[in-house]
Parts: sequence; structure tokens; C-alpha cells
Amino acid sequence: MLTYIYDGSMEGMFTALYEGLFAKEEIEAIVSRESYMPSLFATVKIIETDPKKARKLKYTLQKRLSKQAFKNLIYCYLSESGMERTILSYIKKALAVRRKIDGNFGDETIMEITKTAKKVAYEVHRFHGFLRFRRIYDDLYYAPIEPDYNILALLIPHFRARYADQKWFIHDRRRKLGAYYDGQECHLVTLVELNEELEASLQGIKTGAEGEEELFYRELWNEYFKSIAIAERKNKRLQRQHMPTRYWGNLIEKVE
Amino acid sequence: MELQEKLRILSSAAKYDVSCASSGSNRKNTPGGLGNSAEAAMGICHSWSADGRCVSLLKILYTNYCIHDCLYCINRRSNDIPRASFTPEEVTDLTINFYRRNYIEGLFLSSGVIKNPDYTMELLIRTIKSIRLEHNFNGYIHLKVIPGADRGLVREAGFYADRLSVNIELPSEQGLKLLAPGKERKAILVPMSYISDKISSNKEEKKKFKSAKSFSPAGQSTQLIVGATPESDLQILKLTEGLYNRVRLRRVYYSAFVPVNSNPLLPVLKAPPLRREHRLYQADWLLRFYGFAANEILDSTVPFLDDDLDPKTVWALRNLHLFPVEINKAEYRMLLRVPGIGQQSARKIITSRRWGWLGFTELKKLGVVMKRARYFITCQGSFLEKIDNEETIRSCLLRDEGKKQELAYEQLPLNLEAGLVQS
Repeated sequence: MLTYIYDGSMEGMFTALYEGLFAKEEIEAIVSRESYMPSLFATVKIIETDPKKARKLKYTLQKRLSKQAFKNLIYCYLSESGMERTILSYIKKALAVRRKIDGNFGDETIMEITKTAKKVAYEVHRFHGFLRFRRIYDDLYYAPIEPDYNILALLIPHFRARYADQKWFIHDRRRKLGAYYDGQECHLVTLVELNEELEASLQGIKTGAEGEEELFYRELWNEYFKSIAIAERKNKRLQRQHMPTRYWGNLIEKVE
Repeated sequence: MELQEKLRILSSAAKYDVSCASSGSNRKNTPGGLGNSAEAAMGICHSWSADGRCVSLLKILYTNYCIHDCLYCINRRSNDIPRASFTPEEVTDLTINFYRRNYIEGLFLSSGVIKNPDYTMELLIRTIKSIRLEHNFNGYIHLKVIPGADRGLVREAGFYADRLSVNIELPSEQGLKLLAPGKERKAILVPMSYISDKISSNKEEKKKFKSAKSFSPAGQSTQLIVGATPESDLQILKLTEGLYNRVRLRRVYYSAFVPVNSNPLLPVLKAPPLRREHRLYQADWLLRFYGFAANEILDSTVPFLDDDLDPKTVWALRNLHLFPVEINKAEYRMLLRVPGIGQQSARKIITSRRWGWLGFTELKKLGVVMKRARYFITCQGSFLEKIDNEETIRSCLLRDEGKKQELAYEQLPLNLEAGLVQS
């Protein structure tokens, strides 16, 4: 039983998958360095990321898989939910036949890949709505998010198209990642930390980072959010079903 | 009056309009502009209010002053409630600033009627024009057309809005006469068919000239109140079917009657008929996506939808001779008619069975609701559970559904005061 350990990057995963396709032994698991749990019985092989191998495999997959199927694999990677081994099974199945296999939902591997990719896509869709910008330092629109999956990069196209004329920064607080759009181009940044002032203002303390105007619209939005509900139809369960509590923290409106 | 106060009054007054869709338009962002309302299968919801409804648009009335005295309406002339009016600048300011912070997909603007329909309509148009032209706003705008407004105004509005809608209010003309004495059925239907014609001719025009301006690109919708007047579900579904087929509406919304006023002409209800509303939406889906006709779902012997079971299951029980359906052979059309199989699972069945026989385990994984489907399907000729007696299946289904429904339709005691705008 062999466990592959890669560095956690997408390139790394594709390298591991590439190795996996040619391996003689049965591969038990493919895990990122971060999520690896040492075990007594597993033999471990550290996979050095090799951009060439990664590129080669990606190229083949893009040629042989449907566009959607390839996208699904990327989404599964971004789900960070230990899908690597399943992805390998999927690739083996896909490359074994000349037909496009994505329609075969009777197959467990294909169904699992599709389901996981759907979950990620759904969270992207949700965050198109649940993300809230706060106007800080005059002209920057800042939005903190804490998504279950690593969807920051997938959010960019939507917000870029929509808010092309304003500077914005989307901050994945869980992964310390950021996407900064300067009005022209979008940059991905890692290891993002907030300064004390912003951290405090996110806790609801008035620091001056957010102007009076910002607080004014926030209050208006809260007022609106309260008054739009029909009391006779109150249904908290339904509300929670659509908007799980774990997303409430970074909203502006006070959901109760 | 402060803006906050106005917003409270005029959003509270607009909340009984149920439409909140923001999908199906095709407006792209322009250089230097703000926003888009790009075509997507699913509209974006930004939040969910305490009643479990999606918050997608800034839904407000321009004013809640009104010359009409409709019995069912919170804003009727004779109600003693706080009144307010926005200015075009205020609406613009709210829309743009909410939009920039990603609170909303756009604006839903309706209004009480002040002075006369034309005057009101002009104010609404002035507002959305300012949002579009002065602020280069490309987000979504849904505008309510004021019945009785001049045709030229309706036409102008369509070039700035993504969706236009005229509320049909009540399912029948008698109902309208009884409860909305100032409104005429004709004044509602005429602009509706005008908008419909305009939309289709605009589509043709756009095929020829790419630069032609879009007219209400997200189509037209309407809303009617259920349970304020005695019409049957059959009448309502027939009306809906006509609106979809002949006037080509995108959506018909049903709003369970919430008794905000008391009047001897209005029914006395313990709670809004939410279950009935829910069943109507299910039937509506059957009309739009499942290839059903209204008279298949209901007929004069059974003019109301079943309280306990969904309309598709009820239809299947009445047509047991068409079942069982063999999953590995049936056409898409027939798969869609099986209770427990939706569009998605039907499509998945079609693509998957090309690879081999499907069994019950696979079906479950595909997303088929086996609890309902089991009585109506076979896989390679074999049943999961063979019962061919309508009554027995019905009681089995009820047993399974019973528990879930008790929870889903939990209704809170009605509080009459709460429906009124707070002062």
C-alpha cells in the first residue's frame, strides 16, 4: 500500500496523478503534505512537483475530457476534501475508453466527482450573493469571506465583470488569501493579515477606517432587511436552510 | 422625513409583492459602467429574510399614497397608516450604494397610484432613467407597470427595465370587481398583451440589428392573490396556462392572502393559505417544465389540489394504468411524469443508461426520490415494491410524507397587528 504525498499545490497534485498513472503498485491514497496523517502500515512516497509532468497531464486531459469534466476535476481539487485518489480513478477510467464518460452517473467514481464539483460550484454561486463589501479608506471595497471550499479564484470573474469601475479586495480569512482588483487588473495574494484597525472595525468597533457614509448605508440595509419580512409568514427554518448560520458572520445584516 | 424612515415604510409596503427573480436578463457591463445582469440559469440571492424568502432586489414602492381603495391592500386609500414618497434621487442613491456593496442584484420598483396612472408612471420612468443613464447602471431593474398608464409610457419603460410586470391581482373579473372597485380587468390585460407583443417584435428586431435596444429582456411576469376570493385551483391553473401559452409570461407568482385589513367582504382566515400556495407553485412547475396541461392536473370533478400529496403524485395515482415505467427504456417525457423523478434525475437517467442497465441503487445515487418513485417504476422489469392499488399506495405515501410535512408547514399563529405597517 502506497501513499503519495505532494506539496498541496495544483501542480503538485497533477504531478502525483501523473506518477500514479504509471505506477506499478496499487496506490492507496494521495494526500497533501498538510493533510497527511502518519500511519504505521502505509509506505510513503514524497512526490516532487514537476511542472513538466503536470503540464503534460493537464494537456492530455484537456484534449480527452469534456470541458465540464476537466473543470469538475479542478473543482474537486479546490474542494480540499481529499478527492485526489478519486480523481486518479476518474482519470484512469476516462483515458481507458475513447468515449466521453461524464454522462455515466451509474458509476460511483463519476458520480462522486460530479457531486463534489457541484458542491463547490454551489458555494461559488452562494458567495456571489453572500459576499458583502465594506467601503474602507475612502475608495476600497473590502469583503471578508470564510467559505468551506477554496473558491476565491472562482469568484473573481463574476466580481470583476460586475464591479469593473471600483477597487475591491476579497479576503478569504480562513485561508489567508486575497484577491485585489485595482480597477484594471486582479492580483492574487497569499498570507493576508489585517492591520489592527481593520480587525477592530470588523468586530464592530468604530475606528474611522469606515466613513460615516458606510455606516449610514449599513444601517439602511439593516432597516430594509428587517422590514421586508412578512410577520405572518415567519419561517426561520426555511431561512436557515437557505442561509446556513456559518455564513452569517461576514454579512452586514443582523440575522437572528 | 428621514431616508431611513421612508425606507422602512416603503419597503414594508412593498413586501407583499412576491416576485424577486433576477435571472434571465442579458445586460452586460459597459466600459466605465456599474454592474451586469448576465444571463444565468439561477438568479443570485443575497440574503434570506425571516420569512424564508430570498432577498435579491431592493424591493420598494415609490410611494404608498394611493387613489385606489382595494380591500385586500395594506396601502388602500382609507387605511390610516404612515405615508411616504421617495424622490427619484433617493431611489437612485439607495440602489447604487446598495449595489456597490453587493447587497442586491438590482431594483424592484412598484408604486401606489398618485394623481393618475400616467403621472405615477412618469415618475417611475424618470427614476429608472436616471439610474440607467446618469449612473451607467447595468444591474437588474424590475418595474411594475401601473394599469391604465399610457401605452407610450409602457413602451419607454421597457427600454430601461429588465422585466416589466402588471399584477393581475385576483384570479377572476368578479373577484376584482368585488375587492378592487377602482381597477378594471381590461386595464390590466391590455398592457400585458401589449408588452408581450412588444417583447416578441423586439426579439425579431434584435435578430436583424444587433444594436437594437432590448425591450424588457427578462420578459414579463405577474402576480395574483390566492384565497381572498372563492376561485378554485382549476380556475387559477387555467388562467396561468393561458398566461404562459398565449401571453408568453415568464412567471406567474401566487401570493397567499394575508389579511392585512378586516372587511365583511374578505374571508376570515386563521393563517395565510401557505400550503395551497405551495401546491399551486408545484402545479405551476408541472405546467412549465414537465409538459403537463392544466386539465390533466385538475378537472371539474376535482377542482382543488390535494392537501396532502403533491400534484404529480396525485396525477400518477389517478393514472395508474400508465405505470409502471421501465427506467431503462422510457422516454424522457414519461420519466418526467414519474413522482420522485425531477428534470435533473431524468436527464441523468437518459445519459447513464447508455452505459448499461440501471438498478435501484444507481437510481438512488442519481437523486431519484425512491420513497415516492418506488411504486411507479421497474428496473429491468422488476419492481422494488409491487402494489397496484391506488388507495394502498396513497396510504403508504402519506405515512412516509406525514412526518416531514408536519415540520415543513408549521405555521405560526396569525397576528393581525403585525401585518400593518408600524408607525
